[in-house]
Amino acid sequence: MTTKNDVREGLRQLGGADVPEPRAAFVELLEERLTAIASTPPSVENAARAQVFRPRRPRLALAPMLAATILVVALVVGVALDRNTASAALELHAPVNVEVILPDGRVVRGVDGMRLPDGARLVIGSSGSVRVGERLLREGDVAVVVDGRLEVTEPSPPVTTDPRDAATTTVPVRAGPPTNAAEAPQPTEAPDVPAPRPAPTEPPATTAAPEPTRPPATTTTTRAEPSSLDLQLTVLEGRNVKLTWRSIPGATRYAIVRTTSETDAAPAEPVYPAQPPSYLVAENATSPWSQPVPAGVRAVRYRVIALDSTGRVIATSRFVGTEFPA
Amino acid sequence: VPLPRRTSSFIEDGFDERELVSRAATDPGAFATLYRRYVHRVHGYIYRRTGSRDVAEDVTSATFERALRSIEGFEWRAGGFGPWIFRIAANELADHHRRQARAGSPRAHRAVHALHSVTQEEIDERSEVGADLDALRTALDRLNPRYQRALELRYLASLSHEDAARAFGASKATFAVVVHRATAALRKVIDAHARAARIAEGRAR
Repeated sequence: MTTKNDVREGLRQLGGADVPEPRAAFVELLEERLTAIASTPPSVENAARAQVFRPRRPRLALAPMLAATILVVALVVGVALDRNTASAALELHAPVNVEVILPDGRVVRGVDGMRLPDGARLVIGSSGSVRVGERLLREGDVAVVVDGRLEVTEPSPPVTTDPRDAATTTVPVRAGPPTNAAEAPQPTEAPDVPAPRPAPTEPPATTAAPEPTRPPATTTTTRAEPSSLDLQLTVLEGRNVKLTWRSIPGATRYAIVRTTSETDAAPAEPVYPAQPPSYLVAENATSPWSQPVPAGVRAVRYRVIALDSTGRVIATSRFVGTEFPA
Repeated sequence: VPLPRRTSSFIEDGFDERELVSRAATDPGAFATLYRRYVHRVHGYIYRRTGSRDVAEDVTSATFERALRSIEGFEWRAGGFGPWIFRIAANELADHHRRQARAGSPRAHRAVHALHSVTQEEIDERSEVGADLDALRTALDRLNPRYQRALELRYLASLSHEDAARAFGASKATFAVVVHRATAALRKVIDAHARAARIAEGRAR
């Protein structure tokens, strides 16, 4: 005969049982999907439905004024709907390796059916493609939504760091977009074309780092740093990694988050606040900052976060990373 | 430099939750911060209840998508965002059970579940936590949804008693009564199951 205490004990055991961490790829993809949903403007259908089902207010005495108001509102709504209709036609269909840079600077993965607001920029990554209306965009295309229309522009050439800087960077450095969604980058600092972010499970070929033995002038090719933190990574002797960054006005401390990979797979993008697989490796770091990378780690990525005295994030860097031979 | 310990514990992100919630309806970044703060706990809660990583991911996704769509109507109350998100998770979990029940009889469902949706990895994990916990999950399945939800929130969500009551949508006293009755009901289910097993065993002999 089971007692109530037995049942409670069983429930406590169930509640205290170890649970596996959710898969990092799942956590990251869900965040991207939520961000994409949140960034998608309300559908035109919903707006129209809202108009249709808006409850009537029977103020017959004010009928003429009401009629005039309705006319004006209808005109305004009509114009707005017309504009929205043009934008709503811009939806992503079957995107493959597509990044969308939203007008506020956030970078999200393009998902099927995602509607593009004015000012959104599409970057088609390696082997990527997407159909937007009648247009088929392919690898390397960059397009911007302007007044509800898609304008395809030439892809911006990658920015190569100054060879003098490159001389100090003797390892492959990969930079990624600042996707800490808690703090959008300043519009003036938003990159024209951020480097395509690798999928969590299979990074696109374009993001593969060059061989560590290649000359610095070719190994430091990277995209423009959107943040004024200007994070740089240098591998020192052995497995020591040095990070340097510029100070940000108003920042009272700098936190560093890191992800690692012990396999051939690229590490996840480090995010702040750190949640596995991102780990906080320094809460109050100063530039330059260095750390030995544990044996067995094949690749590592870092990101620096500037915080003010209240703990609020005021800037995030792109992530930088390097790989170590097996 | 000391290396970070591999741990799943949460690092305080320094954001005021109330402010995040107030911004979340219009600022996807604020919602993303809330998401990162709670996704592991919500996933763990659902995993404990279902024992399946796939189901946990599905229900976690549904929970946060619903939360995102409802955040505009969220009113700050004592306990904050946590009880609210767990309430949504509990509802999504109940919906999941309902859908599964509709898909077939419980026996057929369990057979299909055992055949298809449990990976070897999950089987290994299950054997680690013990078959007793699986039996307890099965017994929970047989309770009415209200009792299931009460016990899930009380024992599996890692919430305080107060927050579990808030997530349940009842006062602390009412919640305690529901949990008490649900525990009694669960005990009956377990005993009935044990009796049935004994009878079946006797017949087999």
